Amino acid sequence: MTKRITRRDLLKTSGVLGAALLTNRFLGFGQEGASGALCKIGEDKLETYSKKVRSGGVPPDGIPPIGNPKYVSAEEASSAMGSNLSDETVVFGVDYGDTTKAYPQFVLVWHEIVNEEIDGQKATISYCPLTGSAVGYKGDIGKNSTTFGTSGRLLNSNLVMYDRKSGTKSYWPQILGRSVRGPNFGDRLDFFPVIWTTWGRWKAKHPETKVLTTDTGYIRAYGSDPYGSYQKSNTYYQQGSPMFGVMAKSDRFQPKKVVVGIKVKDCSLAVPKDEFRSTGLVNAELGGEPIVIVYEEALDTVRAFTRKVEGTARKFSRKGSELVSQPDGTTWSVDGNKIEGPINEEKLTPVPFFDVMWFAWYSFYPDTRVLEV
Amino acid sequence: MLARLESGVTWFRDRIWKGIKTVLARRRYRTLALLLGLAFFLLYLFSIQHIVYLPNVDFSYQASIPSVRLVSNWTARVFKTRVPFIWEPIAAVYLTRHLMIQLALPNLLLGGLLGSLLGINLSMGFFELFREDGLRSVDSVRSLAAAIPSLLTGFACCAPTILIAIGGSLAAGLSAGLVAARPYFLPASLVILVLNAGWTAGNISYEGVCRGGVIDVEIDG
Repeated sequence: MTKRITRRDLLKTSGVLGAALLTNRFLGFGQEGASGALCKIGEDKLETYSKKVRSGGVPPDGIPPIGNPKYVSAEEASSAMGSNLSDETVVFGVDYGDTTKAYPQFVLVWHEIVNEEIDGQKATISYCPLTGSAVGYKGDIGKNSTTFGTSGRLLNSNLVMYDRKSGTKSYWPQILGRSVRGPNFGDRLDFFPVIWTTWGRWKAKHPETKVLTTDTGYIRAYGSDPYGSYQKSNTYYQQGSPMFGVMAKSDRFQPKKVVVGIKVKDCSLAVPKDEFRSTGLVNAELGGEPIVIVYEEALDTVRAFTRKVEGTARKFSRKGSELVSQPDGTTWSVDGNKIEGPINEEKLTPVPFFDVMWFAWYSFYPDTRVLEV
Repeated sequence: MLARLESGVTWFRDRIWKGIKTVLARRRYRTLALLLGLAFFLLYLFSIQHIVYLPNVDFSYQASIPSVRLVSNWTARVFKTRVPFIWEPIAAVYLTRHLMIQLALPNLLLGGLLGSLLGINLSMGFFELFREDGLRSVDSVRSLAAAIPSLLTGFACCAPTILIAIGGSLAAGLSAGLVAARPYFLPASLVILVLNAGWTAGNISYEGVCRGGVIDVEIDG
């Protein structure tokens, strides 16, 4: 007896095939050559950015950065922060160098910046609630080392930091990661990954984690959020227009849609986060740099790494929850740690990536490519 | 110079202060001023989010409830502004798991000043409205209307929050202008309240020709 092939079977089969193809996709973005010259943000553009910086209505450090962060262990976290820290609470995770720490969103929404040290080096964890972006930057600018403050100003609704060595008139828009004003004009900050996830997921993956507490030295209504809620679906974080003017607008997605913004120098790529979950992995080239974009289920996050390992561009595929680089056959965890194989390097190198609202990404990078998934 | 100062003080004592005393000397208006001033004071603290009641937020991360917390370096923070006319709280009172009161000294003083002015303005307005000496006039309505600009003081802090609540392109269009105008809300309402209080008190105390009658307003205790 032959089984009749139904329309549903056909759809199912095509879906499986599609997914299989997607997980091994190889895409090129910004094929302008290895230098990525065509997506360069030059000095004239940076000056335009500088002129568009607007007051957010608060003085420098009126939103006070945390300069002396205090942490507790995961076990102590519940008693230290009450029921505000539930499994669904949004946290920003840093698993970098010798540091495994979680920064609850309900604390950072009142401070936007934590200045701290990672591996003996100054580092800044920054969060802009208006653009839904959490980014890590090292404190080294050339030979100088600095910490950052909130300038009280905004560019494209995004937090504009200032570096404390140069003063409050040195502007570093968080999403851009470059100075648009001040003695370091044009310089770039070194990025490190800050993972947008939930406390439940982070704690499960990193039970040894430390957690930033509300003992910040400031009095705030921690647990409340002046902008909205990530546990609801109808607040500023999910819908509506940006609060302040932006330099460029796109109606390709609704403004608050979460994309993962990926940068190689000034070449940019937006990955729609919701859609990428089912894709899982994409090999791509951005501004001449071979990169791999992967979805990590445990933290519900998307990461990006350079595919250039030991001087050679590799091609990655998924094998269950692991990554395999070819042609060497080395296996890697989705967060970029080597599991086994002939390659000597122990970690994949991340390229700058972070979750961000679509309107904000587009307003900084109107030439951005968008990953079709 | 000294003579001018002296005449100014005399004018204030004989016109403004006398008018205020005329009203506040009456128990019912004194009580009214006190209650309205206190209500506004609390409303002001609520509007600048120094009184926070959030049923879905748990403040029990404090050691115990109720409790009081003072920041360690409060002397350095006491005059640090967060936004124009909103200062850093240096202490907090956690009354229940869902109610906290943040204490910023300049805001407490400012709230007290605004509350007093508002209470005096409104009680003088009601005094004029209900007086039985034939001098009831449009001034009473104006005095009561003086309460409206005082509400701007609350708006001084919360404009962005209100805009988020409004949402949409309207908010985006308004935000830049409101951010620019926000620092002027509080001084503007303060000036209006002071001028109005002076004007009304002056009228009340005026003992001479006033709309065709010679009226002596006695302070009757």
